[in-house]
Amino acid sequence: MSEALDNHIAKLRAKQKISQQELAEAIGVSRKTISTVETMRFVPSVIIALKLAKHFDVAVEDIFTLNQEISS
Amino acid sequence: MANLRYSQAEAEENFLRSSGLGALAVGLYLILDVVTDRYNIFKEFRGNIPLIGVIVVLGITLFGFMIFTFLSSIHNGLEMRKRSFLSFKFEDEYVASLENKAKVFSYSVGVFCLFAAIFLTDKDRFFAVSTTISISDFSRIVLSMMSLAYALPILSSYWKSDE
Repeated sequence: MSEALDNHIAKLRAKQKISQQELAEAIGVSRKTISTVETMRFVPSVIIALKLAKHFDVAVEDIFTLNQEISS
Repeated sequence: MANLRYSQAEAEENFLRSSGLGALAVGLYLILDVVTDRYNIFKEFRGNIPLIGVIVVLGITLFGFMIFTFLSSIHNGLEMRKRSFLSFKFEDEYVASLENKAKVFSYSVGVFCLFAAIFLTDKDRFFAVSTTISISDFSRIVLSMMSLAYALPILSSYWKSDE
C-alpha cells in the first residue's frame, strides 16, 4: 500500500481567478514550484503548504489530501 | 535591499537553467575535444575539408555557447542574493530539489565511470580491455559525462510543461 498526495490548488486558483505566476509571486516561490506541486510531481514542505493555506484562507487539509493507493 | 529585476525565486530558476545549459556545453565540448585529440582528426583527415570544417564550426559554436552560458549564469546570479549565488544554496524549494537531483545524478555517473574503468581495465580479469588512454583524456571523458549528467535533469525538467 502506498500513499499519494493529492491537492486542490488548481481549483482554488480557478476560484480566485489567479494564474500560477500570480500565486507564485504571492507566496514567494517560483512558478515551476507551483506547477510541479499542482501536477503532483513535487511534494512541497510544510512551509509552502502553510503559505498556500494562508493565501487561500483555508486549512492545509483543505488543500492537500492523502490518498491511499494499493500497489500491485 | 537592492532593487532586483526578478524575484529571488525567478532569479534562482534562471540561474539554474543557465547552469544546466553551461554544463551541457562543457560536456559536449569536452567530448569533441577528446574525440579530435584521440583520433588525431586534424592530422589524419587533413584533406577532408568538409569534416574539418564541421568540427571547427562545432568547436567554435560550443566554445562560444560555453562562454555565453557562463556570462549568463553570472548575470542571473547577480540577481540572486549573494549567499545563494556563492554557495549554490537555493531558497526556492523546487529549484533546490532539482539542483540536488542533478548533483546526485552527476555524482552517480562519475562513480559509475570510475568503477567501470577499474572493472574493465583490471589486468587480472580475462576480459580486461587493453587501453593506452592518457590521464588527461580519461579525466575529460569522466568530466564530460558528469557535466552531461548534471545538465540532463535540469534541462529535461524545464523542457516539460506542467500547465
